[in-house]
Amino acid sequence: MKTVDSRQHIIPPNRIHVKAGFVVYTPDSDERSIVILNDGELAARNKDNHNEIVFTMHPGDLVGVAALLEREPFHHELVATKDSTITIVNEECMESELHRLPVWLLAVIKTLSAKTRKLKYAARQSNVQNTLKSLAEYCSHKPAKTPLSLTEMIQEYAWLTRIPSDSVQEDFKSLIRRHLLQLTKIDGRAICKIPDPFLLKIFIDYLTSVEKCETFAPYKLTLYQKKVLVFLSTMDAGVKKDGPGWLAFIKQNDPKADVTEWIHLVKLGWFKPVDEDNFAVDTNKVTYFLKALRYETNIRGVV
Amino acid sequence: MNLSEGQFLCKEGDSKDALYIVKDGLLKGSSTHTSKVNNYGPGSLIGEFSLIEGTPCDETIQVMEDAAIQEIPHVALKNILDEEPSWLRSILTFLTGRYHIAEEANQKNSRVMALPTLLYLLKSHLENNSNQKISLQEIIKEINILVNLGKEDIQELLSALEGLDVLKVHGDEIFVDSPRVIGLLYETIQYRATKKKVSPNILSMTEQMILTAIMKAVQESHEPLNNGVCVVTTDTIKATAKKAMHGMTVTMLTIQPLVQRGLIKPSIPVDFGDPTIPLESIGFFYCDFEKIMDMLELNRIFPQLDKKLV
Repeated sequence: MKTVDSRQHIIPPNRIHVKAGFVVYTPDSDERSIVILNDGELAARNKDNHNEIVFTMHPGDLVGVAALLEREPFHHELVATKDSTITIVNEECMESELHRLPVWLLAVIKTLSAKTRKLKYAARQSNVQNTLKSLAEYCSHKPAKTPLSLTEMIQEYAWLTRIPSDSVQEDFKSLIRRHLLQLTKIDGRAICKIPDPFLLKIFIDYLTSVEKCETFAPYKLTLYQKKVLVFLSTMDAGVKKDGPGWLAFIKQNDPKADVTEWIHLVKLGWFKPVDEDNFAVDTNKVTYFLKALRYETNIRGVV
Repeated sequence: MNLSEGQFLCKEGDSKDALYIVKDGLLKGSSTHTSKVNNYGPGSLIGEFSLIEGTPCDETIQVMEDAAIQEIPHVALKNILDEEPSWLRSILTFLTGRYHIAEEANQKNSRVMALPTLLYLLKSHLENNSNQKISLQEIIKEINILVNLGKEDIQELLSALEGLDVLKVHGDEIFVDSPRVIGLLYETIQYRATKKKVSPNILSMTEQMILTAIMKAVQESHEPLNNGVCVVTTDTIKATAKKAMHGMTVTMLTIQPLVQRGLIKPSIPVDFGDPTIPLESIGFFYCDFEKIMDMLELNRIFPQLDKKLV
């Protein structure tokens, strides 16, 4: 709420008339202020080259908000190109005015400035949230078992993602520790090999489950399901059967198997529909689960 | 107002010209435009832009923990601005405008920065895939993991490349006509970024004109290629260049950079340092026809990339 007393503390802005050619602001000045053009025309020009006009201001335009609120330097010289009327809001005036505003409006002003600053900062930073997962994705696209220069990989990955190279090196170490990457030295050069890019893809999915606080599907399998998985891995991808046919087939190995189990196996993606009624073993999915189980210690990072 | 866990403060797209101040509790903001989730705890503001600009909510805000919220209606802001000097309104407009400019610049920057990643992934898929088709969903997922770029930005990036005839998106698939050009583009951008100079793949106008003349000469001759290699006589190159390239004269000096880059090979070893050797002393040139086509395609696309993206 405003009081008569608070009004007395207001320092009014300075409204002045200037002739064409008058220099309103120079970057050499220490004074920070907002310049509002009420009438006429101002030009912001390069202070070292007066012929280089950066922008022209028309009535209603203002400059210097960032300089005043955020101490961001204003690099240009401001000159009147026509006879003009301007309002100058200096620090004291702004401060006296802001003091009278409700806290929520001050908070809005502060938030707008902070959000813009954050965006400007973010533009120079990497957007990657999970750097290890990102590196695994990058490496999974490299050819398998091919000698690759570690330095070049770090450089390329850091360039693609803008992640600082010391952080990239840490993530490389993490993948090497898991044996998802192999590191050797040839002629004094660090050489990296990717034993199996598919394992890196599994690792990415594992990290996604961890992010979602879920258990990774291959690590949720029951002993019985693991047995079925091994059994399916020996089967030919060309074998086609309908649902009951597959259930009967599985029952030959485990009489306890029932429809619920069959539905669960289909949900896991181990069977894919091949035509209207029939299913075949999805060998890619079966291999995926098998590898995830075989290399569980590598994937979990407890090697 | 008090809201219980699970209730919504607003949904994305709702018209609400008010500001909300979180006094207590926790709220979560999510948008269909990004995978990023924002949390709002005590002291957080929600809806600054709705308050000032009257724009619809840009997020769906859900209460995660019972919350106490203070609502500031637009009329409260209006009353203050009516009483205060006009420059306060200008400052608010300036601050929101500046935020939108920074937001747009940031988005553009993210897209530009993600271009090499997209090319890297396309290149990798094309190397392992002979049918030149790539799953769009897979690319979106992989870019998101690699550089955390949103689906809409990826689609904008793809449509920029589509506009340059680098690829075509049909439904859920990306089709690439010339896989080698994708690799060349990636290589060229990487060279510029890491070595801070123009890649040797970028040709001068004269070099491009000579290669175009060679390409035309090969196409007009109807001679079959030998393992992709074409042979063109020096006289034919000169005549085609003159006819098709506005009377251009091919000389030892103009053809030399192409030989040095290994794009074309003279029929005899030539000492380019000797200015007395005439071009006519070389009977013919041979080259990998597809390589020339790819280089010309790269040089058509590359200069337009920045313009398309920025």
